[in-house]
Amino acid sequence: MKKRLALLAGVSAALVLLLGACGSKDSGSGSAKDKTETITFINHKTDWTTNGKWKEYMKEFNKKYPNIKVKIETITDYAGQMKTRMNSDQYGDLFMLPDTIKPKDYAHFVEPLGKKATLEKKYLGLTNKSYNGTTYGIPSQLNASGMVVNMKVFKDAGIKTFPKTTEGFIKALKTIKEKNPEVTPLYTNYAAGWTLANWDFTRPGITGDKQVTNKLLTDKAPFTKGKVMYTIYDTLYQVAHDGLIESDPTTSDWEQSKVDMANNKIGVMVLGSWAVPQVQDANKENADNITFQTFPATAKDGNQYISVGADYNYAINVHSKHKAAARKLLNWLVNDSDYAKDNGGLPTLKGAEYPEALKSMQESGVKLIEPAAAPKGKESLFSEIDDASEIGLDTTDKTKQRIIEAAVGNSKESFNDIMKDLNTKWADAIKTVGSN
Amino acid sequence: MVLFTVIPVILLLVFSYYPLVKMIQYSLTDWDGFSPSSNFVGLKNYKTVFTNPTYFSVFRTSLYYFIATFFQLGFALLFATLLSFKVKFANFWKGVLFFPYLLNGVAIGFIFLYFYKQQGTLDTVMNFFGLHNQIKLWLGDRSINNISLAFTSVWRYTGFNFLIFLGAIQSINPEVYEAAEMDGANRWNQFKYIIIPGIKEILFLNIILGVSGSLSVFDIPYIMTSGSNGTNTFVIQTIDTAFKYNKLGLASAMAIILLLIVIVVTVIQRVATRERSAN
Repeated sequence: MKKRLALLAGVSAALVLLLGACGSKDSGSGSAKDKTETITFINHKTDWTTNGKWKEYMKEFNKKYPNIKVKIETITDYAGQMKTRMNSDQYGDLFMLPDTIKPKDYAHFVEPLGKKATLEKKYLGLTNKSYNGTTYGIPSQLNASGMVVNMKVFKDAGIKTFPKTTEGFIKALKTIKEKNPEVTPLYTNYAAGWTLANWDFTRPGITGDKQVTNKLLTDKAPFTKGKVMYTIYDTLYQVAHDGLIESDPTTSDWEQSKVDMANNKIGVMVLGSWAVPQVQDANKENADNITFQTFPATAKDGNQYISVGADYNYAINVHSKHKAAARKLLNWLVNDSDYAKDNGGLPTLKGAEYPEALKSMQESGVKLIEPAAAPKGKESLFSEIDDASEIGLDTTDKTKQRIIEAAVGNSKESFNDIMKDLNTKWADAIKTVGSN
Repeated sequence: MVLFTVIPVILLLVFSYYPLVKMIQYSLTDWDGFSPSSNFVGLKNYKTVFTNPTYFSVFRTSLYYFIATFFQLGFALLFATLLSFKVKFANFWKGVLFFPYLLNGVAIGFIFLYFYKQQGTLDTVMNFFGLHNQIKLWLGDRSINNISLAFTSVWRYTGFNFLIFLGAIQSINPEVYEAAEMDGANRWNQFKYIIIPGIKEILFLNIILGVSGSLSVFDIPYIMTSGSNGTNTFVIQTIDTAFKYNKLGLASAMAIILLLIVIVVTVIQRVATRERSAN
């Protein structure tokens, strides 16, 4: 019996050692007192790991800071995995701050980067990652939300300029379908899911109203005819209803859609400006025809606007042992690197050069509009209402999928039924969140 | 001997029971899955699940898989019976039938995604046989997509049921068949009067497994359609609640409820089998 107990103790000890060894790996590199520091930068740009772009970037970074070695870790399902991982202390030194983290929790997870008022003089798009006047994240780039358009498809159907009204837009898509039935006028990327959230992002651009999202916080019927969310979803519904989308949305394929668009098989996709270089890369010879346009609508003041919002924000792990080095990398990425330009976005740094895709639009008179910050103390309110309602405005796909399903005749709901239901859910959510 | 059980017990405690206890704990809070703070809300989450019909209506999808279970058991029983008689290359056929069960669910999801896709394998085959007017959007058409998915599930799990049936059939004393043959019983009679009564318990067990399996369908619809277009199941709904709408507390409550339902089904099975064997 004694022997057995001794063995048992031995095995348990071995197990403890084994588990201990797993945990100590990271702290080992931290205690290294030599001059080179190793920091980990976790992000979502998996394509840059495969095509060697991150390696190039870090080579460039090391020219300036030879003593900081950067370990790049990329995750495909970034937002999903990072959320879980942030329950531990080990989420890198520098990382992209997932949008699901509520502003009131920022201080718990990330290092403050400075006063918003000071940083604002230098950078754009700080509003949504600041809380109580302190900034916790700096956008890697700003994206314009609108439509990636293959102008060759439009010109082949005899349409010279991109339409400026939703009616004109739908008519144009119909013309494309008639003239060239092989082409999918608008590809929804229904199956990928996250792509559909881009429809929601266009709302400041359509209205030209900086406060449009803040108004949703108190509007108990935002999905009513005449209001912007109704317009957006109505456009989606009509396009799907008139057979102007891919014929089998359930099995649509995101990677393939970029190739198809580059090869003139798709006319429009509702996405962000970041998608333009990705589509252009798929067929370099056709790159000139891939342009970016605002949602086909004109605001009440007669101008056309395009909404610009922050992409993922760089943030520093509050548990990091290399905060200074991480900050150097952050500053280098924002101030010195071409990250934003290479990704088809607007640079965060004020006064930097705009990417080609947006330059042309600016020349045609489309104004950029950046949504206003949430009212003080209500920074988390939008995501709380959104989660409570389970509508997934700006975040997920279910509502947009539901509209497409109704439009193609897969479900018996009418468009008005859906809008009514959304209004009820939104109003209930405002009530629930308010009562907490 | 204690030693050998220590490691499995530790693994079981760490990866099964500890998470379960935590999940019960989460289900009583409004935790969003990452916030440092959460509030205790008592049984409110359970109340929400039981009072809001949208959470339970997805069990309708499970019906497709439940009905499919019977086809699955039928095929499995058919092949098991055939292969329990003398057949050429018996081991080869056993391998063929069991193979799908060895495949990873994700791989199966992708194989069948391309199989059902518009102008995919199935459409090509049907065109070859001149059946092009029968072609549908196998996953896009709501009247048929759950059947397509349930078929995938049948394809995957038939091998497993087959193996269980085969084992049960082979445990029947061969002398019984010989005696039956002497008495002039044909193959059908042997099946009806020897095999079926001999594997009654196993058959019943498989049906019960089918019930709990069809309640917790997850990987195939999640990979192929991610629960869109009317293919949502309770587990996918739970995942969405937890990770898309950040209601981890509510999702934990849903998971606990599913666990309870499965336990109830299992208890019914236990009680029923005990009564049967007592008779």
